[in-house]
Amino acid sequence: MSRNAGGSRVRGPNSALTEFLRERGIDANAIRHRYEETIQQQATASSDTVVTVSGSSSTSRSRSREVETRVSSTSRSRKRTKKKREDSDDEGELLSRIARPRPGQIDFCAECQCRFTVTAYSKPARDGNGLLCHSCGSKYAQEEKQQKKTQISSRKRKKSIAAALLDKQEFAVPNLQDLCIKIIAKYIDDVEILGDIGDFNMDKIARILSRNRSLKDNTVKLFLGPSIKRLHFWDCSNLCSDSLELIGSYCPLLESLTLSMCGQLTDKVIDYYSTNLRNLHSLTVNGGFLITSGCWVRFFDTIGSQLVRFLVANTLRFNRNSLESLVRNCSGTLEELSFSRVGSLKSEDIPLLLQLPKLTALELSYMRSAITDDCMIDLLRLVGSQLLALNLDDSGDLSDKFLLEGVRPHCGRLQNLSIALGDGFTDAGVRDLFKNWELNNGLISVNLSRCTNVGDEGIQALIDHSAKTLVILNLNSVYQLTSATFQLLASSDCEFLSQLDFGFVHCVGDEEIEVLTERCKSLQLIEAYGNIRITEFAKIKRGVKVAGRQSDSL
Amino acid sequence: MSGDSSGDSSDKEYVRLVSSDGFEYSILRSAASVSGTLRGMLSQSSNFVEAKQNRVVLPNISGVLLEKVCEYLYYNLKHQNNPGNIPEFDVPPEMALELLVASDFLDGMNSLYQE
Repeated sequence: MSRNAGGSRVRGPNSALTEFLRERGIDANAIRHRYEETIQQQATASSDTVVTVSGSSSTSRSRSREVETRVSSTSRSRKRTKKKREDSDDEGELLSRIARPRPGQIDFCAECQCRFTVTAYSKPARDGNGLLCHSCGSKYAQEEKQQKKTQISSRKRKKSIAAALLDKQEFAVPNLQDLCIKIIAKYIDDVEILGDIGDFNMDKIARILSRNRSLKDNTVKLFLGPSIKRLHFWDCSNLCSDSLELIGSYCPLLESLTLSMCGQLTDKVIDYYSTNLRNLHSLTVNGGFLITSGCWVRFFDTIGSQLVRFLVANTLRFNRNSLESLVRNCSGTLEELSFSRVGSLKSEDIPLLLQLPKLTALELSYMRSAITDDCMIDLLRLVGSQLLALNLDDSGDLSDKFLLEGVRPHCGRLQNLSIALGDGFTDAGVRDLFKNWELNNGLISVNLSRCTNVGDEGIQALIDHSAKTLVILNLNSVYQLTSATFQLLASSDCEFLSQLDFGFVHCVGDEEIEVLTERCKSLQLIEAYGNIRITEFAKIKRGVKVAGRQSDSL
Repeated sequence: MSGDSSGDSSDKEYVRLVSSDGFEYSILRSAASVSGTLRGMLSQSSNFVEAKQNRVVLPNISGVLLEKVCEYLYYNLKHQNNPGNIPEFDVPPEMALELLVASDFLDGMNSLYQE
């Protein structure tokens, strides 16, 4: 006997199955008892059969045959009793409670009531009672398959929309130009000449090649020609200095040149440009870290007097000597100047810019400590009145003083202001800058991303001042904002506002974004990375792209 | 399609594009309207000969190219309301450059500009 039967309540660890069986009142002893009973029944039944069989053919059949018959009839009768057992009421109830009918069993369809054999693939009825026959089941299977298909495709579609949004692309049928350009870019090694496809398409192909990192020595030649006036190469990392030099010899009429990631650009090439490119008036060099300070001096001495635009980024060799040469030679023409991540320029070098009276656009970004309040105020006193664009991203030492004594009194024509990562600006400072700032008629593009000390008052003053002109507004990570600011933004009829970034501003939720898209008629792109309160249920007007919503990518 | 209806309306429904080497393609007006240039030429409000005759001669596009262009016009028309999960449009590499010039001329081959 089992230990449990002894009346003690102590039990060892049980498997889930044992526990389940006990709950259902199924007991090993009872089962054994029942089994013994059936064996007895069988014994009597089989002896009956044997008697009748042997009785009917006792004379003609041999003994061995008799045995055979007995065996077969025994098994047949066992089958019969088994079936009887299953059909009996209490047993059947138990079975249906525990599990569905076993494969091989006969059942009646829950829908058409026809008799069928249960298989492992039989489908349960819709209401959960009983199974369906094969024909009824397959009828629904088709539907289910279709459902699953649409579910998968809609999930896929959602994902691809989100992916397109990340590239800020409209989700639509690709246009034929883009399709062709992609093909051309793919087979660029086989192209012998691009022919007359237009500047715009040429530029697009160059962009795609740069992105695919396939702008190489052999492909770059396709873009060169004696009539070319503008060239923009965004990834020159695979171009050796000889290829870069070819630009100087193949395109003598070049006016505007952009070279990004040009790690192989050497002094020799720049010297060659300065003697050969007689019309060059705009040069952008990003990552040209091999070019020495002396080379820049020679470059400005040779063609500095015609430079209108000069942008340099990511180098440590553009130093005071180079800058002195630049201001000496370019003061009469230079209108747009940009230094970004040029670590070799120090705060004592910046006042040299005071000798550039024609500046209309100035960028001194990611220069950290090189930019101080006083030197910027001096500079704005000189050029502020004509300045259209000012970018001083990540200039940690700037404070409210710069805003109030530099920007406010001098920058009457300013349209684009970017002071991202400005830790030194306070809410009060930004408020005082924009409050009743009558000198300026309104900004078009404002970037205050990560100005973490700015809050509601400052931004509300900005909205009051520039609501009618704002086109691009970046408030990424301005944490302290509350929804009152966004209500003000929505209610002040920003008719031109088309791009808005309020990523990681936690107060923005479904309600705010709905009102904004409703009221700001020109809104096209909203960047909402990290705004967890914006859900997929937000009703967003058609035509407005919302990038970065969490629900889009899940 | 509506080819069984009266001759008059089917005339309006379909337009003819003629290539430089004389091939004529008869396509739905709505398909032709995918292209900004063709839409402008065929618009009823304009007084162009093309609009009156419903026939556009494209002397700078060859027959082979125009066939591909028509294929694209229908491809765009078919999928523009359901841009998710669409089959790729096949452009033979040897045709890509010429097709680029042609599509640039026909321009606005994009459902975006239709709205």
